[in-house]
Amino acid sequence: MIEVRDLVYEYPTKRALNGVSLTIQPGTITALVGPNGAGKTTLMRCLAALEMPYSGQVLIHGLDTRESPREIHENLSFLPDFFGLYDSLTVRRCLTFAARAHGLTGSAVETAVEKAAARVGLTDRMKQKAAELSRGLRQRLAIGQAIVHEPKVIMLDEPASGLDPDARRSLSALFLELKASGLTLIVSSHILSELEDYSDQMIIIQNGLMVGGQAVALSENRISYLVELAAPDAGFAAYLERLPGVTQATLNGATAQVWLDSPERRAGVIRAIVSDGYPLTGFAETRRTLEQTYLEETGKAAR
Amino acid sequence: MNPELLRNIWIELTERRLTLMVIIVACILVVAISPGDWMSAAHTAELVFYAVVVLWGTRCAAQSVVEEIGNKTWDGQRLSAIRPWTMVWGKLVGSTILAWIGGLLCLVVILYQAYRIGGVDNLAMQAGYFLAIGIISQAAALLASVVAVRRRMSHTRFDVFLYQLAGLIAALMVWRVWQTVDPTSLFRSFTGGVDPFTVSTVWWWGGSFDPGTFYLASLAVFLFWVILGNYRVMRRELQVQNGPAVWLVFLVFVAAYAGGFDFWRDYIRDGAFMTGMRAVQGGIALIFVTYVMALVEPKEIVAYRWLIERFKARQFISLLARFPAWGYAYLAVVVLGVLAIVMLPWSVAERANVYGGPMIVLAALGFVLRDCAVFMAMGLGQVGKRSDIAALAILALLYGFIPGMFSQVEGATAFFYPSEHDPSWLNPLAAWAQALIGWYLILRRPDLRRRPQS
Repeated sequence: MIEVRDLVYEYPTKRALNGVSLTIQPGTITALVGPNGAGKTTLMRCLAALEMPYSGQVLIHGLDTRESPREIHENLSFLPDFFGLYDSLTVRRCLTFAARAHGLTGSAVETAVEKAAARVGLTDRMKQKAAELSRGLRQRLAIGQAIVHEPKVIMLDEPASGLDPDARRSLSALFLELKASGLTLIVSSHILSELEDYSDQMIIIQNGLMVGGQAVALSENRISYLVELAAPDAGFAAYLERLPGVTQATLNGATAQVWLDSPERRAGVIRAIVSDGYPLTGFAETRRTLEQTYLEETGKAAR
Repeated sequence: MNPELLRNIWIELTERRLTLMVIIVACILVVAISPGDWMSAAHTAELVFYAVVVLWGTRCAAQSVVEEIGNKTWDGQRLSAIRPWTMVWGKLVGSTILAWIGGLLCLVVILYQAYRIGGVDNLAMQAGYFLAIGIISQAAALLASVVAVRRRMSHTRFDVFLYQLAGLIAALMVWRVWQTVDPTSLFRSFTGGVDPFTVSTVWWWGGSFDPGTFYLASLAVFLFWVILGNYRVMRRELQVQNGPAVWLVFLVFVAAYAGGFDFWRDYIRDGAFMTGMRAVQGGIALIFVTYVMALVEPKEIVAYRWLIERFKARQFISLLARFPAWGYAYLAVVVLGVLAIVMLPWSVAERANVYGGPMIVLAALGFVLRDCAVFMAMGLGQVGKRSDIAALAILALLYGFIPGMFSQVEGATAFFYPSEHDPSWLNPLAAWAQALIGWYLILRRPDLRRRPQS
């Protein structure tokens, strides 16, 4: 678990983080978003124990970044936006060094290297030097280095920049696979659609503060249904909210939007609407995009 | 194996580089040995050793961290679980390993000749010296580079040369001192066997020591400190907090080492006077440490703002834990200064051949504090070399150019550096007034007094 308490980070003429507090549960993927200069990278660097805050506390699995930075690094990885590789080393040696630098020894190193290479699709390029790789492959190698020691927490700053659509899709799949194996991921990106596929929650940083004071859960309420009638009916939303499985309903003209506690409820809801005599003309699934959520949350904060 | 060392071996010891190094050095040595003059061959080997281990080795050591910053791999290292000590020796040995391979070939010739002329004892002394000069120079260059990294300077090739220069200066000092005790030294081979600085005995804390043994022991101790310095700076760079205890022990060591030399044993018989002079000697060494640290330590506005806040909140333990190294060094200078003021005779007649007395010491304390204010005023919030150059230029004006302009005005030098005047209080008053005004102006800076908004 990651716990941040009243984190303040200052530059000489700007307070980059102004009392950020948050908790991130293990086994989740958190999207870290916000405008340029909002403090995302500073927050990530503080979480990674690369920068010491002015005040406040960061606990990674119970270890304080001030007191145990090197111990934290055994179980944490951070891939910065602008990363470097040892160009004269082969892919195998890059991964081997990363594994050993994070405390792996003996036969565990070789196993970890093979596994990481397979996960990022570099098994057939182990003898190639890092300098000879394309930008996308270098990005994959960097991600391979970040995951080779199977950390409990991985933080990635703009991980998909420079990747082609196929590689981005595989990256999303990799993140979900890592999450399934119990890892905690924090991913920062400007491209919200990229975060859409795998994020469980979103933290919006603006002017050094966390918008709304807490993370926005994305798994809940993301999918809803549009129910269209032939003619408007003012009491339709109230009717829908009385149906079993409906958690919320809103009405806009002849169209209602309903949220269900489970997708399996759809058939029952349609059956009830028809059998109660409403002139149903359409029923469609709709997804609230991350961008919509982001705009709603930042809009609320502005108000 | 140390992962950092292994990585360096992968990069540095490629087959091609290793072969080239061995062939080039071996060829030079074979040519040097072939006429059969082993003394001359040993001197050639010594020169090659300095070129490879000291000149090139310091360059490698100075580049080892800086190059990683340029290649954007240093954050990865800082994010690794490699412990500071492992990182230091991985870098120190790893980055210079090829230079050492060339150096070891030279050592074979040097040590063979040392054995021929002086047996095992001479061989051991020479081996100790050559290993020490190599490691001290490389460690000093690495230390300078990591200190610079902490200041977040941009690192041009010229910057790397400056870090290397720190190593070369350390090597030059070690070399010059060693030349005075080595009868077969390279220096004497150029001067017909004469060295004006040769001493037959070193007097230290009342005891007499053989110069060779004393210098070797000193080298070993300084080697320990320079490696420890690397470890401590690397800890900070890897975000591990350093307490002040080790630094305080170092300050005590410097004061005791410098204060121990009995320069005055033929002139001073009085015990209190001698103690006062020892305090002055130790204090001068610590003033040097204070200046070096005031120059090289990062002077981050945020860090000093944090210290001021801790002071206002009376959180003295937190304050002392992050108190700047130059500050501790200055406090140690003050302690020795007070001791000197108490112990030195006030009357000029009692001071015999010794220039200066308590008032000069009091003035020196003020001038050092003033100079620290100059370093701070120029360096606070600045990250480049320009602030250092500006501070040094101001000090050059204060100690050289301006006093020179007023050299005809009686008593004018009292305002610029420690010197004897009538009235005797003028010099300390001028020094402390400047120091207090300087620090008052620094502490009034808005960016130190007010925290920014987001």
